[in-house]
Amino acid sequence: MAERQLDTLLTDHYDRLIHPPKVEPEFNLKPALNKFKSVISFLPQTRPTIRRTKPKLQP
Amino acid sequence: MTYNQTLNPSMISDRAEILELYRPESFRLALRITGNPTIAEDVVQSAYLRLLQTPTIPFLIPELIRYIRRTVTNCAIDHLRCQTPQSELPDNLPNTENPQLDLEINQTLSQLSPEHRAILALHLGEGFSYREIADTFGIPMGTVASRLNQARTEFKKLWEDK
Repeated sequence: MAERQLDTLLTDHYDRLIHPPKVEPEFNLKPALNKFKSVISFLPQTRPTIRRTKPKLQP
Repeated sequence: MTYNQTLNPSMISDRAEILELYRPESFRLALRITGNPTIAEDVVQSAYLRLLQTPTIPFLIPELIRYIRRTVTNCAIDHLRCQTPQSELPDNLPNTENPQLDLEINQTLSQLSPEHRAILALHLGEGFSYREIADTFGIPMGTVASRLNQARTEFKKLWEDK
């Protein structure tokens, strides 16, 4: 092993000790979202109730 | 507080402030020398206790920083001398891309003498030049170069024999 190779090996090791590479979270939102969509598609479609307010009487 | 300020030795709070400012750097150095976060914490703790109990401290901040660095390195060397190579291998190495490679390097480093580990960590890990290491430890530059060369040779031999 050449001196430069050895230096690079150790320098990289020392850097990784201090700055470990960030691990991306493996959690994926898409399957959960699809499942949610499939569940709500079975729910009965209800019309939203519109609450009507009394019109104000003119004096 | 700026880097080139003169420190008033009567003001203990100044000293504590500088020590706290350099705690992350001290931990980083200790971790690179020992290769173990838990041991590095202990080393920094004992080094800082030693520093706070020292009655005479350098007046200038750059000298104080060198003094902190030297104390941390010496504490790490003392700690490694009391350890057997097997007992200090960490289970809690930070997550790395190639944990097996890092573990093998750490195992090889643990077989080196503490002085050689320290000089490799200072030069290759912390990036200090020969001059900076020589000034920190009050040794000639030739000694730094020869110790570094011995450390490289020892590591290379162990790495190729494994």
